[in-house]
Amino acid sequence: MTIHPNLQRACDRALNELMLDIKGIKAVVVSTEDGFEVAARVENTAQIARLSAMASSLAALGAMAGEESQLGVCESIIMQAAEGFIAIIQVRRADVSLIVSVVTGRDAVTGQVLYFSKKAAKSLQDA
Amino acid sequence: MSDHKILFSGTTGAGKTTAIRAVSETPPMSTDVRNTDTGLSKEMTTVGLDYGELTLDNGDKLRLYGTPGQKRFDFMWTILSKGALGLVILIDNSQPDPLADLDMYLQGFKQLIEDTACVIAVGRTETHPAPDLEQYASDLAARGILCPVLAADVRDAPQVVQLLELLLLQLEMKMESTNL
Repeated sequence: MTIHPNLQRACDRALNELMLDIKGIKAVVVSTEDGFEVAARVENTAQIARLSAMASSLAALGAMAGEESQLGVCESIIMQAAEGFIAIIQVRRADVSLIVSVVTGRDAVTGQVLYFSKKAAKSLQDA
Repeated sequence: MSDHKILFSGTTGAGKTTAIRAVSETPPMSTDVRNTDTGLSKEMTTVGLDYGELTLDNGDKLRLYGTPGQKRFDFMWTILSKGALGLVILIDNSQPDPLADLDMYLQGFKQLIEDTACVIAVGRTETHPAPDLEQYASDLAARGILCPVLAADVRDAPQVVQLLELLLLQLEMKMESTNL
């Protein structure tokens, strides 16, 4: 896997901003659509590879569900668990498609998580 | 008539998606994305699941699920194993160590294999004859696993159907022997 240095820098920048912008954020990972980590900010680094692979599967299942339900292209998935949220946002690029995964605690505000995650995804799409 | 959930797993690039596409009577669903792993010489790879359906001549309906092959997606192996009545493991004999590949799937699906039935299909044996089927059989015997191993080209629908029929036969024999 080769990520252009400019894109790598854009990923690092986007993650730093997300860590500052989202209240209650626990982890954020940018990965390729086939589940390899590109950049991450997370307390427990052991989670990164696992989160990248799971985000890849979930994004692909979301895409399949969107198509099968004739709802079009899947842009994002929000998972609400007992202790927090996971937002998975697709970044479609010509060279390499990416996935931004944001894990937050229960104190996060869903709308805020989605807003900043999508903003980060847009910045990576345009980078 | 009955309804069975059957799982396809095995080496990345061995043909799990291809096998399901070859026999599915409904438009197959897949979660293939662009592969970025330079160690794999393939353009697309499955990261979620494949799905297709097949009705056998005896009326049995098979729901066919394909797993991702890579170990990093082994959580999908666990998820997809739930409720499965059998497993087809596809091994690509052109890989550097196909027996080690097989060991990984035997380990990953240990419980499913113990509880249900398993068939192992080895591909690309015409261009890569080693290890031969005897070596696979010895490897399985050493692990105390009884399941058939055969060479197969999963692009060919009749060969995939043959694998599935063999799997159901295995399952039937196992159920009879355990009086389930």
